[in-house]
Order: sequence, then C-alpha cells, then structure tokens
Amino acid sequence: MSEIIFEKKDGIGWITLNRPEELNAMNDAMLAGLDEAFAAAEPDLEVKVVVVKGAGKDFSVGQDLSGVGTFEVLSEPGEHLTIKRRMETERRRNRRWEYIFNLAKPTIAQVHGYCLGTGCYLAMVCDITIASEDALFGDPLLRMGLLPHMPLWTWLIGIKKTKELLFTGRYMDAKEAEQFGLINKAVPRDELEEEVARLAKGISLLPGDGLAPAKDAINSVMEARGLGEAWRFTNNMQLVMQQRTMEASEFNFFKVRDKKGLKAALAERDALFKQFSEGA
Amino acid sequence: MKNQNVLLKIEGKVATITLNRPEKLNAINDAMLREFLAALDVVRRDRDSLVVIIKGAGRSFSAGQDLSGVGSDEVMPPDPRRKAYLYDMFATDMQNQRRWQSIFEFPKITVAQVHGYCLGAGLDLAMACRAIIAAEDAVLGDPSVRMGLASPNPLWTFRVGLKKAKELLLTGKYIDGKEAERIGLVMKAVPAAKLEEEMSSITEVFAKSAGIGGFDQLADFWSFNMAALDLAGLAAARRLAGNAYVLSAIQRPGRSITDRGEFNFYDVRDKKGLKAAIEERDAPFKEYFPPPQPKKR
Amino acid sequence: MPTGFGWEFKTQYQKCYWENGEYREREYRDALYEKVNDRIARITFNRPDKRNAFNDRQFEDFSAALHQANDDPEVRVVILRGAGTCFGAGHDLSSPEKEESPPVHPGINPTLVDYYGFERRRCTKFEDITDYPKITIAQVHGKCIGASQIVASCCDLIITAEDAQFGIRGFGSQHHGITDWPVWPMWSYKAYAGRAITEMSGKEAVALGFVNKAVPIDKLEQEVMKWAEALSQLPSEAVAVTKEWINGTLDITGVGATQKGHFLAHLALQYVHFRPDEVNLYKAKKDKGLKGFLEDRAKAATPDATK
Repeated sequence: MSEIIFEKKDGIGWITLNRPEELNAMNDAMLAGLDEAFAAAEPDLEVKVVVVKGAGKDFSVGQDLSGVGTFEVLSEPGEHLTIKRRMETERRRNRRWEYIFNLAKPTIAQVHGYCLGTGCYLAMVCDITIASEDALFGDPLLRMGLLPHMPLWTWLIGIKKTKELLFTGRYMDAKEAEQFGLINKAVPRDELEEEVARLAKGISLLPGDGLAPAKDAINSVMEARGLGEAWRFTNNMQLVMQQRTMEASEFNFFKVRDKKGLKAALAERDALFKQFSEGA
Repeated sequence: MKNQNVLLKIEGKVATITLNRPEKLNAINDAMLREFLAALDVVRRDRDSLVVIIKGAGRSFSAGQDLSGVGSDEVMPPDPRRKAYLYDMFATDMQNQRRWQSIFEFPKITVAQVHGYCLGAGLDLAMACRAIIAAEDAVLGDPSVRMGLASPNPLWTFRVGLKKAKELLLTGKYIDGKEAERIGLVMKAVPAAKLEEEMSSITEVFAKSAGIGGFDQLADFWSFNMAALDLAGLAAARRLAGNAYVLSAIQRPGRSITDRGEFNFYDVRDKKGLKAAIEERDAPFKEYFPPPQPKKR
Repeated sequence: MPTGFGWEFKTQYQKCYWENGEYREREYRDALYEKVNDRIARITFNRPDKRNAFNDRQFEDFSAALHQANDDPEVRVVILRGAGTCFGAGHDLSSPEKEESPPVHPGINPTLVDYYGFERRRCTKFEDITDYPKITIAQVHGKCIGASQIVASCCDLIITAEDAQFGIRGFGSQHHGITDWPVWPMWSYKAYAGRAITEMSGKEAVALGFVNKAVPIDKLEQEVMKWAEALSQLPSEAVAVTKEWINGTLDITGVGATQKGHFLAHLALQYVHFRPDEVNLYKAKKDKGLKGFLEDRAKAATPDATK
C-alpha cells in the first residue's frame, strides 16, 4: 500500500501520508493503509509512540473530492442507498477517527502546509499536534453543502470560533491555531522535524503501561463529557444532511466538478467566499 | 487537635490556610491532607470570611505527594513491589475523590498563591481552587507518568483544554508560571517579588465581588455551577479518572515486557534515598523536556 | 436528549403566539425589524434612552421579529444591534412592577409556582435564540452587559467595536457563569486573562475567543455586512442541519440541561438575604434612585488598590 508508509525506528512508529502530488488527499486506498498502519502499531512492543506526517509540501488537504475511489471518504449527492446502509457507512467512517483518538499509545501529528477537512480531523484526534508556522487549518465542507463532522471542534476552540470556522470555511494559521487550542505548538518550518523527534523520543522513554492508562484517564474524561455520544450524534446528523433538498440557487460543487473538473469546482467554491480566503 | 502541618488564620473577610512542612517543600502526606480538610471545615462555619487564600510556607507551594513512603498510605498508591488488593486501592481512591471534590466545591472563594514548586498533588490542590495566582518563575507540573501513574485529577481538560492536558500529562514535564498563565493553567503570573501585593489586590476584588445579590447570590450561583459541571460530565469524569489511576497503580515492575529493565523508583529510594530517586526519575527527560529553574532567592 | 429540530415558541413561551403571522400587523416599537436586502434581516433594540434595556415590550417585539425572519423563506442571516450608544444594558431595572422582565419586585408577592412561570418564559427566550435555525450575528458597540450579553452570547457570531464593554463590575457574574457560554466547554482560568473583575473590552474579548472579530467602531457596520453577505450564500437547509449538529454536541455536554437547571439558581435568588454591608438593590433604588444604585454597585466592586 504505497499511499501510506509505515516505518519503525528507536521506539517510534512513523506513519506517512503518501500522495504528495495530490497534496495527500485522502481516498479509499489511503484510508485502508491508515487503518492497517494503526492496527499494526498498537500491539507492537517496539512502538512506544506513533507520529503521523505528510509527504511533500503538505500534511493533507483532506477528502479526495474527485469522486473516484472515494466511497469511504464522502457520500456523493444522488447516491441511492438505504438508510441502513448509510448508517453503517457513516458509523464506519467516523469510527476511524474515534479509534485513532483512543489508540492505546500516544500519537503525535507533525503538520506542515495544508491541514484541511479530514486531514485536520486526523491531526485533531492525535494527542499532540506540532505544526510549522506555515501550516493552515480549516474545514470548508459547508461551502459544498456538506456537514463538517468532527465533534472535537467545539471542545478544542470553543463555540464562537467553531461556528466562525465552519460557517466561513476559512483557514486558520498555525499561530492562531495555537492561540485557540487547536494545536500544541507552532514552530519555524526548519525546526519542525527536530521538535517532533525530540518530543517523540522523550515520550518513548516512559513506561508503556504507564502511558496507556495516563492517556485513558484523559480520554475517559472526554468520554464522560459527552464525546462518546457526540460521535454517534454526528453519524445521525450526517444522515439528515444527506436527505436535504438542494436549492436551485445554491452553488452545486458536484455538478460543476462533473462538468468542468475538480480544479474549476474548487476555484468557484472558494471565489464565493473570497472575503474569507486569507483569514477574516 | 494538634495542627502542625497546616496553619489557619481568619481575619475578617479573609481566611489564610498555609501548608506548613517547609523543610519537606510542603509535601502532602496523610496528616497534612486531614488537617487541611479540617481547616476548611472551620472556615466553612465562619460567618464573615469570604475569600480563602491557600499558600505554602517556605520556598514552595507544594512539591506534591509525600514520596518518602512514610505516613502517606492514603495519598500514595501502595508499594508496587508488593501485591496489593484492588479492594484497598479502590476504597482509598474513592475516599480521595470525595476529598478533592469537597475542596473543589468549597462554597467560599478559594485562591491559591503559588511560588516555587507546585507539582503533582500540590498542583491538583491549586487547580481545585477558584483561582491561582503564581510567581512567574514558579514551577508547575505533574510527573505522575514518569512513575507509571495516570493522574486522577479530572480537571485538566476543563482548565487547559484537551491538547495541553495531553502534552503535560503524557510527558510529565514542568512549565513556569508565565507559560502556565499563557495556557490558562493559572489566572495570573507576576514577578515573585510582586506576588504578595498581587494577592492582596485580587483578594480585595474577590471580597468585593458579592455584587448585586451579595454573599447569598455567590453561594447560589456556585451551587448551580457545580451542577452545571457535573451535568457537563465532571461527576463521571472524576470516577473514570480515578479508575484509570488505580489501573496504573496496580501495575508491578517487570510485569510488562516493555518495562523490563526500566527505572524502579522504589528500589532506588530504598537504596540511595528519596532525593536520588527523584533525580534519577527525571534525569533521562532533562534533554527532551528541560525543566524551568526557579530563581534562587 | 432531544435537541428539538424546529423552533417553537408555542410549547415554551405562553405569552407569545406568533405562529400565525400576527407580526404582520404588529407595530414594532421597542425593537425594530427591517430587511437590509432579500437575504439579510436586521433587528434593532430601540430604547436608546434606556440603553436598550429589556422590558416586556422589547422582548415581545424581539420575538415577533425573530419569528418574522424565520418565516421569510428568503432570509438567511439575522443581525442584532442596538440603537444609540450601546448594544444593551441588560434587563430594565426600572421596569414597572407588573412586568415579568426581572427583577421581579417582591411587592408583587408571587408564589413559587408564579416564579417558575416567569423563569420558564424568561430563560427559554435565550434558548430559542441559540436554537434559531438561521445564522445570527450580534453587532455590538458600547455596553453589552447582563441579559444583553447573554443575548449576544447566544448568537452564532459576535462582531464588536474594539472599545465595546462586555460585562460590568459588581454584577456578580463570577467566572464560569452563562456569559462564559461563548468559550464553553472550557472551565479555564484563561477566560478572564488574569483579571478578577469581569469586564472586558471588545479587543480583549477577541483574543480570548469570546467574540469573533473586533474593529474600530466606524468600521463596525461594514464588517458585519461583509460577514452577513458572505454567509447568506450558504444553502439554508445545510446551515440549519449544521447548527443543529453543533448545538446538539453542546447539548450532549450538558448545556441543554444546564439551561433548564439554572432556573433553580434564579429562583433561589428571589430569597437572597442581604448582609448589612451589602448593596441592596431595592433599598438603594428606593433611597437613591436607579442611578444611585448603579453608582453604589460599581463603587462597592472596585478595590482601593490599583488593579
């Protein structure tokens, strides 16, 4: 599976998102590789801590919106699926993030460049996120009439900033992301690898059977605060969104993509919100 | 009752509770915790006091749980080299959860005045107060994970958010007062020389904060805030964090393959003393998570 | 926990029946309704001589306007703002005795059952703003305190003048009250940035995440319109579902139960027994008038030492 590369070294497991020409856009093949890598890392006694990063210039632009090989990634409008099938699909998609969140080992996201949509979700469910100053975070799904579906937004950055980000679809730079609690630290681009390597190495020196309950204590607090129910509720609201009627006047991303190509569709999508292209 | 480990003074609107084992950096043992709770009880029944300052005698607020192994059966888990009973561990943990809850819910305005070291259970105590004012060079952190322990304190994600909670608890690293203010762990950090003055000012503001409904209103809103937090999951969170702590504390050295040959705090303490054990515990992490140094005075 | 997709006053607010479009004949007076363009409605709190403090009439005009905007299929975004010098100063403390807007005068001698009625009607007004299925933007300038601050907090977004004032000393809003709602679900000390007096400027509020944007006051209206116009392009059903999802995740974290649970706190407030050295609202109003009371309250909350 070349879309994901997994390497072990000195007690650290490195997972690399590897579709650099597509800015590491997530498609079915990449998600399958991600599942395999995490499933292998968790029981592996030689892995004390897992680091996720992106090949090339970015962490990940999120969902592959091409419509090809992306059934695990998002539901296209007009798909004829039963409610039961939709429920199962949503549960499986979102459970991936829940599973990574609850991995019994510490996880670190090493972020540079674009970190959007499900790419941002992956960074959010990792325990600690270190980003380069040039990183950009965001979730532009609502611009395409799709539901943003990561319940951690409000827990990390609060209600007001969550509504702002999800309604405008704008990007947040690393400095702002650190200020509002989305990430742990922003560092100069040329210091990113060293910062993460040091953090990972330091954690790898700790007892594995101490780290696991230490993490679980915190995750259990989040579960008690409602995160567990929030995952399920998110699945349900995905179904509701999939049932909505599209308006005649609204921008139809999928129609434009099918007629003029993905690049044009993205450009048109973002032109509507050009006031919010470089932050508010 | 002979109160040596904790001092209590009440003057008008302000009560002051001082942790008083300065030669041990105010390490919290069973006796100190019991005396502290007894002091809170006295303050609760006092009609005039509204603000409660909690501080440490000597060079530090508190270096945390007493790790010497003497007189600290209630605040520390049993020696992991001997096989413990889950029954005892859960009973002790639940007792401690109730104690910390009673501190957190205390119906008067508690303000922690933090200087020097504020670690482990010392930091838990400060976090259970309604406000923390710290010296900029105070040293705060929770090194539990370096001893293979989870933290039973459910307040972390509430105070500093999920990301910072994980960063601090999964590394066990220490930060200074200034950084603590930046991330919201303390309300305000000031130069150490200005700490008393700042406390005096903040205390006066809090004493005058009874506002439109007076002392009765404060009590009313606080009771509701406690309900709101429990509704937000704190009640269950407290129990789950406590259970994770017991799970971590029941682990015995050599039980897990990944831990074989790793540092055993208790062996080093018995052989070389507590100070050496703490130094050896922290030594491998100095390079990766350099601790801030409190200024010598 | 039911989050109530759909927005119904009828079950919760007995005094307000707008579901048959009665607002069409209504003369808006203490809150005004207008459409800025097809997709953007604007509600202006209109009691500038009372600093837009809420009395029963202003609440009624406000709810009618929200209903009218909701029923208009073209409207996507609703802006709230205040006439005159401020967004709003909270509940009208000088309201005639027979009104339900608090403070409920002890002279009315209501029973506890009566109090429950007042509470339900008062507090579910704020819930209804939170659950509103269209995008709400609070345009804040000047003072934004008490109930007005709660109204702003319940809107999706707050755009403010840099020198606006959120909160007021002496109001007794200790940390972690409902006005922390914008930064919920944190319980952080950071929210007051080292300051024990619960007042902050627009500029300070944006750095802490309480509001979305702060601008010089002469740029305020333009900034709000920029946001309103951009967001009015979003498909309305998608917005309604997304809001329901966000609010639902907050309900799951206890906010819904907290909203109802805090009635108990308000009800107990009716039985406050003032201590001799405390500023008693009713006594001070009687002796010195409302202005005198407000001055006493501010003075009592200000330390002699410099902040």
